[in-house]
Amino acid sequence: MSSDVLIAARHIDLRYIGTDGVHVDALKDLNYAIGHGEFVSFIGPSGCGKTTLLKLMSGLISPSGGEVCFKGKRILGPPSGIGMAFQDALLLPWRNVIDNVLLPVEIIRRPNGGDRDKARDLLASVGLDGFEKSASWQLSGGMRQRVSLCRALIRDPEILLLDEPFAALDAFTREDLWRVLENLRLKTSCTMVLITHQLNEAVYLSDRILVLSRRPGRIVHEEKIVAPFPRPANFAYTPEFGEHLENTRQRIEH
Amino acid sequence: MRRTSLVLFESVAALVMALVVWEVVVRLFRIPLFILPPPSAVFVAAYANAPVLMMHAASTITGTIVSLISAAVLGLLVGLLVGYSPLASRLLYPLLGGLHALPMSAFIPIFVVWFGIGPAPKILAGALIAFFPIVVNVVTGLRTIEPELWDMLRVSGATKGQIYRKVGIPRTLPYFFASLKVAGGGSFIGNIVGEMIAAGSGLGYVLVLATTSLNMPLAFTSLTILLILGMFIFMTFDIIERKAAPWAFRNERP
Repeated sequence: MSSDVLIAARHIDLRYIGTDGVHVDALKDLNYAIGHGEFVSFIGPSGCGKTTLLKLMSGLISPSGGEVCFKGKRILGPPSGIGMAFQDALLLPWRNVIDNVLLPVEIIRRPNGGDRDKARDLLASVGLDGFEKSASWQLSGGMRQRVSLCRALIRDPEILLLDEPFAALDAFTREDLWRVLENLRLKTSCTMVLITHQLNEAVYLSDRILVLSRRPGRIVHEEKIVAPFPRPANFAYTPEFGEHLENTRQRIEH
Repeated sequence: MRRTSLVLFESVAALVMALVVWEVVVRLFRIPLFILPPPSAVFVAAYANAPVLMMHAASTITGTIVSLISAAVLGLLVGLLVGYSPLASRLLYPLLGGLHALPMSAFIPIFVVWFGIGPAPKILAGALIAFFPIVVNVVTGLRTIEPELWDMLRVSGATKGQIYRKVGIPRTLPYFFASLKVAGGGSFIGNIVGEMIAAGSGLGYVLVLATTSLNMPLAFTSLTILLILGMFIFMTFDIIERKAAPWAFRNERP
């Protein structure tokens, strides 16, 4: 396991000075190691620093103590090879679907035919073939989130960071998107880290769930879910699923 | 299309109603001509002075356009600079705010000292009034880039310049066009006041000339033409705004 670690945190602390001038410990002595191709979810009470954790992984902020290493190298700024998706799909309304997907490519070069083919291929794999030229603002919430996932994957990241991407969707759409995400994972073998409030979402999608404590956030429980992918739609109704749900729920402090 | 003609019909109907009420009130209460002329007298004055009024209207329109174009170019540049550079923002923004609090017509006597009687003072006054709403809106557009979008692009390796080019400027456009609607009116007002104080042509000049000789039908004719021009300016920019950024009006329902 240790040999194929993709991203790891060693003894990270994160302190900041709050608006009232008091030191706040957001994270304290937090450790994790995420292997190549793994799907890991972080779950915990709100305000436990989950989003902060993702920002540390993406190099957008630096820890006050300890280090986060990506491919064995300490993260000092945003490293290449990371894709991100958020609760809000954040599509640019003046661009059509495919031009939204190609945005991260434009940061490094003018998109060529190959990039366009890849964008089309990604869109097809999330069920959006034929929507390339659609105005992004005319799409439904679920479709927008699909486009956002394609955009996050267009540059073949080694790790995809997902900050509650399905939180704003209705239950049916959300479950559709679980399967979309599962397909994308099988297709790209990209490592994925998910932050979520939804326990069933975490159990359905993950190889491992890491439960964070209240602030200052530490990992208080690790739940391994050994079930092959793609997981059947009725996986959510098996006793095994219920057991994982119950184990994890008990460890979340409210 | 049918909706447009309906709106037009409603506007015209409202105008005709107002004119009828006005005519009736003046005749009913026997209001003297030099206090409030009836619409019929205004039409007679307009007809009798048509060629001269046309020339003066052309002067007002030209002044307004020149003011607005210079304010738009300068306002866009300054807005982009202030929105982009924190240093420029610290240096310029408070100063701009302070200047904005002054009544712009107070500058006209100074402009007269500098440039003499003629088109320059009114054009400058119009441009000054039009400048601020444009700057403020452009700055707002740039400053309200969603933080998650910013994070996503930073993780993609985007520089600040790229983020402003790809996201900041396009998303600022609807703010810019919305400000033109306000700025168009401001530039118009600046020109009229400028003409009233320090010009030898324009409808503002006619207005002052007519009132000093108690020629109220002529004064009201100038006012009426100004009203029509004002409506025209507002409607023109309303249409431009919708055409330039249709995605910004996506929530509108007829």
